[in-house]
Amino acid sequence: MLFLLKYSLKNLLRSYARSSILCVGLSTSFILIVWLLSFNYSAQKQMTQEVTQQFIGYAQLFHQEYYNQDYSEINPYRVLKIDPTKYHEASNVCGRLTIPTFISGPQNMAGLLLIGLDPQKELQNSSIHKMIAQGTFLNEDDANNIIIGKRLSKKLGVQQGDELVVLGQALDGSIANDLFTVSAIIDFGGGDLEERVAFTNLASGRNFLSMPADTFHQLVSFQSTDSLLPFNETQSKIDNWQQLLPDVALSMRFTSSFCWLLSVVIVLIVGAGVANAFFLSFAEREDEIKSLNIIGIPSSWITLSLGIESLCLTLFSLFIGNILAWLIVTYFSIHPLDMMFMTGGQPILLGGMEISSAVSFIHYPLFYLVANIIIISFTSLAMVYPIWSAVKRSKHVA
Amino acid sequence: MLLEIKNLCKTYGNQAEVQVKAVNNISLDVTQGDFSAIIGPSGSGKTTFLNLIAGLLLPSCGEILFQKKAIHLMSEKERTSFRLNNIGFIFQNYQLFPMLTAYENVELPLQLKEKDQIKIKDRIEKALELVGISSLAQRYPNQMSGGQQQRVSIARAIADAPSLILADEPTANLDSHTAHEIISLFKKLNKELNLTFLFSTHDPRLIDQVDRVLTMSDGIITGGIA
Ligand SMILES: Nc1ncnc2c1ncn2[C@@H]1O[C@H](COP(=O)(O)OP(=O)(O)O)[C@@H](O)[C@H]1O
Ligand SMILES: [Mg+2]
Repeated sequence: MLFLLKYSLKNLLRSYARSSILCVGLSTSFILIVWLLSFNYSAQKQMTQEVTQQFIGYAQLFHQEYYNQDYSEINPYRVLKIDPTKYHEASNVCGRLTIPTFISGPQNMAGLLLIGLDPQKELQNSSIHKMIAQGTFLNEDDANNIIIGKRLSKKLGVQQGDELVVLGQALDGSIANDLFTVSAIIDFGGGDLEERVAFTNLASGRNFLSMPADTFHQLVSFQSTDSLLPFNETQSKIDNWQQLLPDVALSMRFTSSFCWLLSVVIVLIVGAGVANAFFLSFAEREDEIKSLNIIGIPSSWITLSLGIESLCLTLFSLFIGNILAWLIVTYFSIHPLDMMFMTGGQPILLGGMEISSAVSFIHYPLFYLVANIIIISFTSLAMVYPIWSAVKRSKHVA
Repeated sequence: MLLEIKNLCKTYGNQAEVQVKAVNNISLDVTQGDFSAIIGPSGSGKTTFLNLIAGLLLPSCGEILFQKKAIHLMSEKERTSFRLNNIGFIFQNYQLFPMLTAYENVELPLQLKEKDQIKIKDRIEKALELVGISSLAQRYPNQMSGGQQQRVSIARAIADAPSLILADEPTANLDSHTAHEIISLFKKLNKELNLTFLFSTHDPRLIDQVDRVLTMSDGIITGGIA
């Protein structure tokens, strides 16, 4: 057995240039797969976090008739009454109002959603306040302060401190109109959100809509669905961010599937390359393999030896590949990779706002396991034919 | 009787017009300790005949009995095992494994027959000494001359003292001086260890040391069947 191993290894080393090339090919493909999967995983995790932390939240609770079936319309009359003590205790749940309005400034008019926020809770949970470009974030006791996006402020021709007219329909059916003061300008990196939403506090929002105290349109959780469960009643419904932003979720699923597909393609190509290289190597050694048969070496021994030869190469390559892949992923976890190189320097907008383009990699052991398994199984499978044909030819006497 | 060959023939090709009778109705007995040479021109059927005895080819008709066992009736697997345990094979072009040292080349078949590593070492060293290349044990084939490589090949064939040693034109790639040395070595091993040799050659100058010369032409042994 020891001799068999020695024989196989010596065979592998005799054409060490070819073996090295195969080794480089195999380990590179391993690294590529782990890199690709880690990159995709880390980027998606980061995007999800950013998208959900910035505004939309991880999950939302609302009246089951608040959205229409395809989420294209909202019905602001469907509000939730929430027990105030329970609401105050749930520190990671932010209550919000969403009010369809027309807003008019000196130069222009726009339709948008005026979002009523709980300033204290938003400060602790979301990152909306971090995107204030000018002025200060909302306060609980403000009256009719409004924060608008940079793009909207240009469109309307208003600046911080200016007044705006907001028009809408109150819950009692009457026309709601009020003057709001621009207290801050928010910067979502130029995303749609800058024109589609504006923010005020809960009190001003309720006042505008003639909405009773302790009523909300949504409760937003930034961690998980769990913290919303205590508020879930027969009339309400909980949706996670994938349901709220289906196109973002879909594109993430698409990229994931694509990465896996690409990994399999890489393995198929490399597997075919390795099989072909061994096929040629065995063909070159046909005389030798034949003389093994002549001096009485059993086919099983020859098969095993050729198998060990290819397996050793695969295992050694994977050994190198694992170490290098780990080092490379570690490097990118310390020095985040800026995705702007893929977008031609354009900022990455997702869910209506700009998200950070620097991805710091996360080690995910499953990817190493999967990459090892698929490479070993594909190359082993690919070796069946070259070995089988070499052994078969060894039995033919010219 | 070590080997009994009865009415052996081998025909290549299926269609009648292209058929070649490479071995044509040969009968031959070989006893333990024989030292025989088959001499004949190229194409006379020497290789075919030796390959039939080794069980590398199956005969078209006739029988080959090796110690009363019918080789031509064995399965492929049995014939391989038969070669490993009973036959030492020496090739025209040595057929050493280039990535193995002389020592390891001799070791290869022994590792499949013997478990005791001390015995294996003992046999390799003895075999290398018998063929006179103990000092070259750690050399690789490409670091040795043709004659030296053939000696390694001989050591590999005789290390386990097989019942029969077959050699197909073992000297064809060597100069006449070295060729003579190799045949003398065969003779020495035959005398000292009582090993049975059957080898082929097309060089009539080599047969002066041979006890039994079998002349072959067109698949028939025409002389020396005694
Ligand atoms: N595999 C084969 N197929 C067809 N004919 C063959 C084959 N091997 C040998 N022959 C023919 O059989 C005859 C004997 O060949 P061979 O045994 O190689 O003779 P030798 O070894 O004496 O040169 C030759 O005519 C050769 O052409
Ligand atoms: Mg021949």
